[in-house]
Amino acid sequence: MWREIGDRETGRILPNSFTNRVKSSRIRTLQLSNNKDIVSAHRGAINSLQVDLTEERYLLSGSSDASAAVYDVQRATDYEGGGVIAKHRCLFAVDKKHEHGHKYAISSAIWYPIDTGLFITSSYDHYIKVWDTNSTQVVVNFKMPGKVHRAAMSSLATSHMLIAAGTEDVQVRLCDIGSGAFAHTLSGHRDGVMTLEWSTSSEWVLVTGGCDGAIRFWDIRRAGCFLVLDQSQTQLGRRLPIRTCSTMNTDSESRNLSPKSRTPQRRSIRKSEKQSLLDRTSAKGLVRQRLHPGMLSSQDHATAHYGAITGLKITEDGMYLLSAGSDSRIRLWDIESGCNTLVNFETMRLQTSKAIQLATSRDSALAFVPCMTAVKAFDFWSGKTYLTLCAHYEYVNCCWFSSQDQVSPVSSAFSLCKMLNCSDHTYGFKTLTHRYYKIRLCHHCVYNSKTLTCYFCTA
Amino acid sequence: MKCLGDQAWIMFRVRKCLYQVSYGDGSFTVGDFSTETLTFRGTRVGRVALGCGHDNEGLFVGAAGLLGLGRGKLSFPRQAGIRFNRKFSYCLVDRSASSRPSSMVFGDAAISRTARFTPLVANPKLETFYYLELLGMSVGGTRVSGISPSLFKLDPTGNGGVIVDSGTSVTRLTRPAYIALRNAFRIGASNLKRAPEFSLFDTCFDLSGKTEVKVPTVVMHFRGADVALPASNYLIPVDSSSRFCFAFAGTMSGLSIIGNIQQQGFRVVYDLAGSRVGFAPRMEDDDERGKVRALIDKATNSTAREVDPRLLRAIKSVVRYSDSELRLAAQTLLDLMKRDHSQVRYLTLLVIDELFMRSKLFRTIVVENFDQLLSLSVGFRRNLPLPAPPAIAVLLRSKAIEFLEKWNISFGIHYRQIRLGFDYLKNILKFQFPNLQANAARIQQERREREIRSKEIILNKFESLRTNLFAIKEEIQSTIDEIEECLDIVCLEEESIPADLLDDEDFEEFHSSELYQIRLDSLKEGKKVHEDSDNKVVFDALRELYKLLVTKHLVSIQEWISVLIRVEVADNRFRDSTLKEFIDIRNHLQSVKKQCEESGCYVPRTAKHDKEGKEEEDIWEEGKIGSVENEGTSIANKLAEAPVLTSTSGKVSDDTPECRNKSSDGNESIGREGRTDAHPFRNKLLAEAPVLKWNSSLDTWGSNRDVLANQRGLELESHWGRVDYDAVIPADKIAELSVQATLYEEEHVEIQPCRAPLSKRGLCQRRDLRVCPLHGTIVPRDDEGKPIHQKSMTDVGTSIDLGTNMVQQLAKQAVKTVRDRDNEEARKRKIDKQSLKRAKLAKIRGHNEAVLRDAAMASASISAAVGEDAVGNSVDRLPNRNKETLASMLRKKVTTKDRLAQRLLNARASNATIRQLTLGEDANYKEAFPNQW
Repeated sequence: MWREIGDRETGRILPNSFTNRVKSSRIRTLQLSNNKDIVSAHRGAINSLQVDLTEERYLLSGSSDASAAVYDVQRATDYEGGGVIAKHRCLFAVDKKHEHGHKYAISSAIWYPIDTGLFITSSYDHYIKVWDTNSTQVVVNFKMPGKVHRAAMSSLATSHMLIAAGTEDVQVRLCDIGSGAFAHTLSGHRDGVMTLEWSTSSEWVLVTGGCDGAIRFWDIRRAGCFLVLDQSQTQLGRRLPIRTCSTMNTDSESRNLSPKSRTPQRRSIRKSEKQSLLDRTSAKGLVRQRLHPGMLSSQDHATAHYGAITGLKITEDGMYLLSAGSDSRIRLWDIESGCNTLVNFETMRLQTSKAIQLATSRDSALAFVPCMTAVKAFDFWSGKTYLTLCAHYEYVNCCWFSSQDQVSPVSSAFSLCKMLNCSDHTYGFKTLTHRYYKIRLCHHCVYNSKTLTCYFCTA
Repeated sequence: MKCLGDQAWIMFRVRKCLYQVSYGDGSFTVGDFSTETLTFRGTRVGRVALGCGHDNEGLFVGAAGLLGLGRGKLSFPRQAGIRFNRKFSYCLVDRSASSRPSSMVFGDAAISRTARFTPLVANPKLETFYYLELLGMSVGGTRVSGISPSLFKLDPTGNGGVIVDSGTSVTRLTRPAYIALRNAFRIGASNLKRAPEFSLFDTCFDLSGKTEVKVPTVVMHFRGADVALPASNYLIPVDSSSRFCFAFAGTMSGLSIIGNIQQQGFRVVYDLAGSRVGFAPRMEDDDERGKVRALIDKATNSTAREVDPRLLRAIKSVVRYSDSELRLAAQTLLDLMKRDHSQVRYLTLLVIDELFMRSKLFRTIVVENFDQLLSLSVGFRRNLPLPAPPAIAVLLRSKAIEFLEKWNISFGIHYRQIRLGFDYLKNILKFQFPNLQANAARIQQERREREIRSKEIILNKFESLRTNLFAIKEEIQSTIDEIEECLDIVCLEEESIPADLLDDEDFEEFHSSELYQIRLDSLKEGKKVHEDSDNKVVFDALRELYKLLVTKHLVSIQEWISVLIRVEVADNRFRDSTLKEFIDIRNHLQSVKKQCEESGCYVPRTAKHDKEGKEEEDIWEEGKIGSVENEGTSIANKLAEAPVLTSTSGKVSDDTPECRNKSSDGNESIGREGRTDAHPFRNKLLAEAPVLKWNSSLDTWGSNRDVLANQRGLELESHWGRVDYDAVIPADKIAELSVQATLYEEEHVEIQPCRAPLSKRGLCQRRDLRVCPLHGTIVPRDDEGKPIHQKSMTDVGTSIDLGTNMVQQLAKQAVKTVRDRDNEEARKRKIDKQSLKRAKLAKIRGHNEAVLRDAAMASASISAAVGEDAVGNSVDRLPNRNKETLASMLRKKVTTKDRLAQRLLNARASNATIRQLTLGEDANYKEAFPNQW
């Protein structure tokens, strides 16, 4: 640490690499924080966690007791133990008692990506609700055909306000907050959709993972999906860096799936892009149907996991996709080529019955995966377990990585990487009538790395 | 390893290099000389000159090679040179005793921090040796006077000096130095038995039969480094018969050599760059490491409910000074927690708690896997229940929960994991925590409240006393006056009447005051007052007044005194003066009381003695002011009690003071007669009354008073939350609670010996209940062992109730009797009847079989005992019951049922024995359950 600062002082290392080094070293020494306590307002398992994307200050959690709560993770509400332990109590919570509250478990709770004025909750009671944070009132209400497993909004979207919802139903629906109606219905999955994610490189691309084991990529401007990931299509390791790639391939710029194509005139380019993608695969020997962006039925049946897809996470740069399945495997996919990169994540057990929320660190060095009662941090490219964060007593459902850069005047170093995570306390008891109930309860805990706080919240 | 000898030279030839090295002991090697790249764990050392020996003789035999570590230019350290920074060290271990191999380190890591260094001395004439500067030696803590530095001096010609050599076994010292050292050692070890010398050792000892000997220490003083040798480095065993020799030897040459026996156990560091040699005593860490583990294993391998405090102290002391020990201990303990035995886990948990409360490092280690520790000790995970035995498992869980709470209170603030675990168990799994802190605080609070309350009460009383003082005194004074008047009258009246007998029983009780003695004497002279029709009125009045005095005034005075003693007021003057006054009044009252008693009036008490004792006790402990009884009155009570206690029958009449008074309205002697009348009745009752052993249930015999539930004696407060201090257990409940419990005692039955004649003359002395396993059914036998009444038994033996009969026998018998009786009857009819009998018998047999089966299941203890004795090879019996082991705790208890079942299944048991056994059992069963038979 001090040597690095000295090196930075003498200009031996660049500011960027200095920050990266410090950050990564901090992430690697992540541990349970003793002095940051998030006091859960929930009485059930926490199914979803998100820190807002604008300020990285407000934590939104959705629980299976049909309540959602917001916490301020920067300013503590009160202190305990002589000011050593900072307690973060919820700023507000909406639960069943609220007149428009959800009736059943909340499966996901997400912030409106632009600001913290709105948040969206989806629930097993078939509803997706959009809430006004300040008045804690429901603004828009969508009735879905079945239990909603997950809702997602694109963090890059500038031209649409769509909530993608994965439900028990085979169709993925896109709900438009602006109009209060369903904008699209995407069909293709053969079973319910457990999890979905918007691409982090293009506002039009949606990735969905279904109980049928398929991961589908959709371009919402077109009908049908354009890519189904196939676990048998593999490539070894990561692609070559873009620089070398571009020297090799002059047209790789246009081939890049990425994103900045927001202007309408570039759509045609994108179309040709996809065309070229298909061309390339056909050149490899695979025959692809060209008349429809959707594919040949044989390719349409491809699966990414044996069993359901329980978690999806796209890296910050939008290049890779991490998927978790009920086969207790984690796969890393190259989005551009659609290939399984064959990174062997060490054996662990995953929860199979519920969707889990994965997390990655900013620089895509570590992948955080809830494995039963612990959260494991895997090295992204080797799949080796780097850290095992255990403090939960029940199954962990979700985790969130949040890093916050603050320039501290003394060392010009950064602080704060936050890690939020969730567990699920399940236990049963028998009543006099011998009916068996399951009750999920929750907890919070915060992880701390050295002097900086990296923390977890658990359910 | 051997240093390159003094006569090494290399012969070069054209095209091919040859080398020849010969050593001082005559061994030599000849071969090709070449260079080679050597690799040591990834470090390559190029172009090392070495010889490939073709002809190796002497000590080379059996060795795969030889690494020269000398100081000369050809040695390996010199060739490797800068690559290893010219540093190396080795640690030689005792080949025979140690399991670990000797080790050698090259490079900077060779320098041991604990090493003591001495500078190297250069010998320009002979550069292959490591010369050291030895200044002297000590034996038993004192410098050996005969050893001076000059003896080891390296002279300019290159002679003399001291070298350290790994290739020489025994240290050689120049002759004078050796003699001095040896003599010093012999003096120091004069308590040891000498043994004949051995080889080059001239000082040997016979240590046979000793486990521990004390020998003088030997220290070598190098310049800058004192090397204290462990005893094993200078006393070495030379044969199997415990002969140990002093492992130094003299040499005629001037060169002294520190040999490898003396280097054993030291890490000898050669720092050629620093031109120094160091000696570091090897850490005994391996043994220590084993120690804490062994201690913990020993501590947890017990069936006791507590860890042996000595072991615990030992563990703590071992762990206190060493972090590595502590880590090891933590690891061991956490491993032990995984053992599949609750007892082990329980004891482990106790040890963990001890260390947890004391060591921060231990806490941080334990806390890392806190959920695991909790799940292993509390067993809250359904898939990981606590192991057997269940009784200990319950204990383990409660202890774990208690500890968790304690830890959370003490350290929760520093360890998130503890808080989380506590929170999880408490709020989510809803475990009941003992809640020690809150409980203690609450009890404290309640006690304080009670104190405050009682103080207030006393203060109130004090205030009322202050106002009523005069009235009280007035009242008492008037009573006293009246009594005195009465007494005066009585005395005057009775003066002429001669004295009669004294009441002995009253007399007995008079002990204390002088005044009273005088009074008593005067009475003895013949002034005893008797009650008769004339002075009846006076006596009545006197009695009334006496009663008033005893029951009211004396008590109230006593009470006020206690109030005054306990009250805390700012102004003490009033208190003190009143107290004095009251004490005076009390004394006065007591004297008056005695006067009254003397004149033959007393107030009998209603309560029985034991109950009063109890009451007094209650008051004593509770310190209640409102109560009536106290020390002051107890004298009177005793007086009154004396007659009452003598008879229980008299109690009825004594129930109330009024009653008593009425009965004593007549003559005193009448009352006494009544009592003597009661005696025969009492004796009669006593004759019939069962004799009971005393036990606590008799404490409350006959009393019908309520008892405060939450006072001392029946402490419930620590068990159930808040306590109602005024709760009362009604008398009938008390009676119910104290029901006399009696144990059934079996009558001792003399079991007759078998007395069957034995082959080696004599009678079988086995005492079995019914069946001797060797001689069958036990029958009465005469002195020679012949059975008596064999005949008569068979005669009567028709009845099935006679358990010893066998069914076949029975059938035969039946047939026989039938034949005898119906001799003249027709043959056909006879057969008919016979078959009828047979059918009946078959039925009986069937029934017997059923009973046999039942009996096998519901076994009686006696038959089980019989079974056990009958079968010699019974395996179930534990060899020694009192030695309890961990394994035995897990073992299932063997019930008689099991034993009997096994016994029945045992193929080796003879059929006859089984038959006998079950028949015996039949009888038993019949006796036990006559209705079901």
